[in-house]
Amino acid sequence: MGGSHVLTGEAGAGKTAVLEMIALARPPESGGIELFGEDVGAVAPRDRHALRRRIGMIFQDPRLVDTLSAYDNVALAARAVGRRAADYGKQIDEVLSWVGLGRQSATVAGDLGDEARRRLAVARAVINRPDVVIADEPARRGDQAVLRLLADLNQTGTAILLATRDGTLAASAGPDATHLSRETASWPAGGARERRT
Amino acid sequence: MSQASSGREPPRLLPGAGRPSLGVTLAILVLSIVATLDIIAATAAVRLLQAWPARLAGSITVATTSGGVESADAAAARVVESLASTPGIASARVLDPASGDDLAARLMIGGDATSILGVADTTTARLIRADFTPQSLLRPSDIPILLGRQGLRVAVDDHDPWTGPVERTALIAGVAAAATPLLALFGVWAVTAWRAPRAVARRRDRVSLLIHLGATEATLARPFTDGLILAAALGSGLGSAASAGAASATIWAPSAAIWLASRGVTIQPLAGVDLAGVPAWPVAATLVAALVARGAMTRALRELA
Repeated sequence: MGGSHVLTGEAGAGKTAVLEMIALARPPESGGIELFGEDVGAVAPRDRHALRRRIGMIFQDPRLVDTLSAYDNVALAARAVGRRAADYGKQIDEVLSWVGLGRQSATVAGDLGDEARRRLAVARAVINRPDVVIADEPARRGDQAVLRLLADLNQTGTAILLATRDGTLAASAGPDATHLSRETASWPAGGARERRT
Repeated sequence: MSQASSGREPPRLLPGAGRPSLGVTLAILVLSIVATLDIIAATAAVRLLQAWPARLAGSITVATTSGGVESADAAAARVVESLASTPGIASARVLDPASGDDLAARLMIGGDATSILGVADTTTARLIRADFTPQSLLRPSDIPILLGRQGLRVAVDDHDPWTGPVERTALIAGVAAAATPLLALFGVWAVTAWRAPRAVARRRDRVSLLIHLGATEATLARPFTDGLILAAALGSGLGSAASAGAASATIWAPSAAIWLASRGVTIQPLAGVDLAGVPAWPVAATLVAALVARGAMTRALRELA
């Protein structure tokens, strides 16, 4: 079973910044991050894709392509890593069914509701079988569907790193949680820069 | 049923990124017209210049004037007759009097005519061209002595010393003409390097998403690079074709040259061989665009990564 960790903190504490640094979306200004045994800062830009392919990212704003269907949004992730349609076609159907969008596969993402869009973001994040899924505020308060999907995923061996403002969720994570705050981190105004988790 | 099995097109990673930019295509087209017209003109100029040494080598111009009652034409005829019967002279002929007078006048304006002709009045001068046989033991300086014995007063212009300057002029013309295509290639480089980051910036959101989804630099750069290469190929191809077409018209449709001449545009005589260098331009321009696009795209993508 993969591990799981919850990153908590109020808005502006730097949760998203930390996740983006781990996901190689922004460079750390100081310190270092080790990912899959590699120092992220030492990885050449042209080789970063190899690390990114081991990460499934669920953004706070799902960043779906609104003009594409649910199926094509997931297919885009498969094609981004060079997979062929014959290879991923059946898998996408299975993943969309798993997240509960099997019947909405042809629906344009822009026409999906907020909760369906979040589930679609989960489907896109897992289509390439990542080692770890990083989820930034994947569920709104009271929305348990996405959290259940992530829990299921964790049961199958995928590590989960989740950032949330939801104190209840953080409390349920127990020792597998790190709390970020502006005060304790004592970073410059404007948010945290980095913290090892 | 999966979309793959239903036969629908899979989503394109960067739709539209591979389309050639109209602005880049037009800019490269203009550069290509300038570059290829220069290539054609330079090739023709070098060809004409390089033909001169062969025409000059082993030949002389003999200038004669009438003496006393003998007319200029009669004196020239005697010179030709005398030269033609001289061992070591392959041929001798009187140059067209009109062009001969013209040449003599130009020589006079240059200040050398008097020393060549020995007279001030060029209207009575006649020029005779004589070619030596390849094995001739005669020297140009022998000719005035030889003809002087027959009462003919002549001056001889040896052509051989002119071949060196003409060859050097051809070389200088060729090198100078190469500067324009090189500048145009620099223009292709600049246009491509300017456009590359802007093309990426226009699709910043999609590119950024694909980077996070694990796309490689090469995967992302390829459609953008293809678009720029296509624009360069189209622009340089069309520009070259336009220049070649215009040049061909002056070669194979003389009425076009006449039409231009009637409007005060004089074109140096072109030949089909002058177009031989044109096909090299689109290849060079496209190659430069490809190399620049690849580097510029990588830099632009790394700024997002």
